[in-house]
Amino acid sequence: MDEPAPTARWRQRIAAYGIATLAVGLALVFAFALADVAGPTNVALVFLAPVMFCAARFGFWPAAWAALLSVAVKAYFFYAPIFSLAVAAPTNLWALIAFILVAGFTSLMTDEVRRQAAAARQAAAITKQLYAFSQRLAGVAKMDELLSAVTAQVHDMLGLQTTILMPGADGDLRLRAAYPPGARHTAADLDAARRVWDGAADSAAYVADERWLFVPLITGQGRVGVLGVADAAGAAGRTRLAPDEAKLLDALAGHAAVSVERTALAERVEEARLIKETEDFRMALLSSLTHDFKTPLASIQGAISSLRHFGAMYDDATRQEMLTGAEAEAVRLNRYISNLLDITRLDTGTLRKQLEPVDLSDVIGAALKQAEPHVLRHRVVTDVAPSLPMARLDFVLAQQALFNVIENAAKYAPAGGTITVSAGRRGEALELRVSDQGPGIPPEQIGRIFDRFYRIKSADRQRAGVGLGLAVAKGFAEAMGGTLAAGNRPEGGAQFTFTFPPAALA
Amino acid sequence: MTTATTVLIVDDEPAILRFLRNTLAVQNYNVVEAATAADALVVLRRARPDLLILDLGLPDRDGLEVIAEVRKANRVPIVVLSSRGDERTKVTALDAGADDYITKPFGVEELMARVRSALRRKYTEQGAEPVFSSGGLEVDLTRRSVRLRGAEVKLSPKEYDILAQLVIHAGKVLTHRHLLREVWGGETAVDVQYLRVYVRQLRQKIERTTERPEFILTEPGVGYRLNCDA
Repeated sequence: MDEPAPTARWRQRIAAYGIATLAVGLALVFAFALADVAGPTNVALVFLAPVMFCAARFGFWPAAWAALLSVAVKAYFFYAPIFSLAVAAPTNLWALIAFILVAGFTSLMTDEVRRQAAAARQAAAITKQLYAFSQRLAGVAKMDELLSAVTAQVHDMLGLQTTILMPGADGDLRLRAAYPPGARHTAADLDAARRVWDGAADSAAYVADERWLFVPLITGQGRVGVLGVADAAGAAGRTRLAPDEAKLLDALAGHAAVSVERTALAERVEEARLIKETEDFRMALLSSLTHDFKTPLASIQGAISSLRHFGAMYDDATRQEMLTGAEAEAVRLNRYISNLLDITRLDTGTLRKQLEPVDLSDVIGAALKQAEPHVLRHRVVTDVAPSLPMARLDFVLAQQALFNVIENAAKYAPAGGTITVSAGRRGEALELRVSDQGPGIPPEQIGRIFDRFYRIKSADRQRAGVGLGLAVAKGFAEAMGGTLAAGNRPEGGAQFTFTFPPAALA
Repeated sequence: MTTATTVLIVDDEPAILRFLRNTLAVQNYNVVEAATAADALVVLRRARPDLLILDLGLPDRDGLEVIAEVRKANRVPIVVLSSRGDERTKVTALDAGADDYITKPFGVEELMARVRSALRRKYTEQGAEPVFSSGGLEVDLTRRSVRLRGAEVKLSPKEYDILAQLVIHAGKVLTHRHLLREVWGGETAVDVQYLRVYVRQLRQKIERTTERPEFILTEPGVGYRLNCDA
């Protein structure tokens, strides 16, 4: 006996008829039990139970088998002549015919209900898979990540190689994502994909070179790409999908199309935002260049040309005053250009830094030395905690950042006031603070003072200098892994606080 | 009768050249000029200047190469003109043999201070003064003694070696590398952070406050300088 094993489906069918036969047998036992009480003619209805059970469980044909078996059993055991399939009384014959009609009708109805339930279950399963699919795509913001996620998901759900093709800048389709990552298309595949993309292949799915199946990714706005699936690499012959698989693929393609469109839209919005930000920066830069470049140049040129033409007519003190003013404006212009260069270095990522253990009191000393000409009219106090550990910094960047903050304090704090530069520990980190006795920062402007070209607006005149120094200081602090925060002290005046990570001394 | 001090200015920017020439001439320096590296090397041999002011951005040759070329046969002090944010170039120039640098743009006070300091060293280094004294700090190199406002200061050998290097080259910027080489000698794998630690200790012993040093000045990103005018 070397028969091939029956397929699962056949085994199921045979089992269904077996169970139908058993169910009728069970009904017969019940019928014998009931027959003593209710009379043999009234037991007919007992046999409806196995018929309906089979219709609900296995479908129409097993139910029909059960009905037929029931009729035979009833004729044999209950209707005279007993122990014969013949039926003598016409009433009994009518009863059997009625039974067959009722059984047949209810079987059909029950079978229909069963089919609907199965369809609903399948639909629910697809919905669940689609839900999981869209959940996985929802969080993805970048197009490339989305496409990889889609191909990986389709691959997992259908067990097929999956690719996505999208039009490039020239409008021609090219492979954008594949799962497993090695999957490639032949020229013939690409032709087929192009036909699907162009709409020449009318059906949703199109079989190319007997292997790849392409589905257009369509949204309300049009086609966004083409999804390709194929049996595992090496499998011969065309890729065939079971009807429920085809349905799932269509649904997945629909979802993927919507996600691709959403992501493309989000990318365009982000692009537009960046363009707008760049535009805003350019406008701010332009207005700043006009004001902060031209003002010092105007006074330098004015002073020099006036001295050249009328120098002899000025007294010595006036000449000195004009020259000192011109020199100060030149220094200011230099500061402005330095800040612009620093911002550019930060923006273009060309900032060179070398993080190494640095003594904060040394940084303070270098910054104060640089700031000397700016704090002539202020009292500067330093307060460095004893035996402070070294901080991990780039010396030059730290000194420049601190200088910018000190210069800012000197600009806003009234002459004669005290500027305090202090350094200490805060937990593991090191803090560097610059506080002044000025009017402080208006609370509603604290969030904006690190913006480029931002200057605190005050009722009187605008302060000299550019709103770049603090932006540079914050940029430098962050480039070194630190932070710079602004606030007001309870006792009055602004306070800027750098936080730096400590250096682990080897 | 004294012969005027001669300064050679090498720069290809006419405006800078004019400003330097006038400023130095009015201070009674004898000025010679060159606009290219090739010219500079010729003038250097002919005019035998006492000081060379060199812009690193020359049309025909890298300024760093010029320094190396000059140093092959000449001890003339070299002051380099460089731009801000270019600390590496400054360090390279100093390591190649330059004596000092000025960052463009600069004021005339800064220029003259650097020029005077470079020239003073030229003369003192020839007869190497064994005792340095400035602003209450006295260092006697022959007796290896350090006094601060009359009181003896106890230094560890490394601290003393660093201070001695700064005294020998008083007023000149010493790069981290120079100090590491001279103080730690052949010991490899000695890091700049050791130098920073020792300089901090040294400052704690001789400065009033470490964040307002009078004597040992930090040149950000480059090295240290001993202040001769404290």
